Amino acid sequence: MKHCSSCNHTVNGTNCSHGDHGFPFLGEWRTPVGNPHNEPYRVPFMIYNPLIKNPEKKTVKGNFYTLSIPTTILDIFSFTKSFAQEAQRALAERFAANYEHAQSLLRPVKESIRFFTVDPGGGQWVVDNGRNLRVRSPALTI
Amino acid sequence: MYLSWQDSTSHTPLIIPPEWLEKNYQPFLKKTGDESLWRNREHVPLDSWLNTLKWTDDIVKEIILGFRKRGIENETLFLM
Repeated sequence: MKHCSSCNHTVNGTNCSHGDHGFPFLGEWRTPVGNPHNEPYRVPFMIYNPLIKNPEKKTVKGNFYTLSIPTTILDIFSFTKSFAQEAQRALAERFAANYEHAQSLLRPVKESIRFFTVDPGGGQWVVDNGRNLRVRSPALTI
Repeated sequence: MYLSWQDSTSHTPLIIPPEWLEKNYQPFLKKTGDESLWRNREHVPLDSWLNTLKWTDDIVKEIILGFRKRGIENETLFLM
């Protein structure tokens, strides 16, 4: 009996995926993630409010880390002036910079070469051109 | 104010309320080709899983309509 090297599930000759993990998010686009169990890069999400107009039903596609979700929400809160306190607005602005891949999908792409691990404890490393990363590069102080 | 709602209906063992199933169950898939592949492919029935997604769509709609009924939909950001 064989076992999948990535998830240790029994391989039945067809595949080794969980029935309800991973496969719904597997798209046709290029991705640095070879293991579908690395779902944090593939979680689709939708934002709704009656005042948000998107008649063309535009979507943002890419391999975005799940930390894109709070970062994008915080940007929406800032743009819609939903924060009552200045400190909240300032923290929302800086949130993304505290995490390596927490890009806001509402900010323009700022390309930069990045080198990072794909999965904690795993052996895969990736060089990324930054096209999926939208955080502001931290200012360097010399 | 933050409000979160979570369900695990689309996670195995895919338990859907029977009263919803009775009215709404749909066989989404036409299972052609090698029948054994449909048994081996996954350990959960895909049709049931697709129906759990439909159930989830329905309950999300119900939640949003609840906000609309109370006049607070415009001031709410829904994240799904």
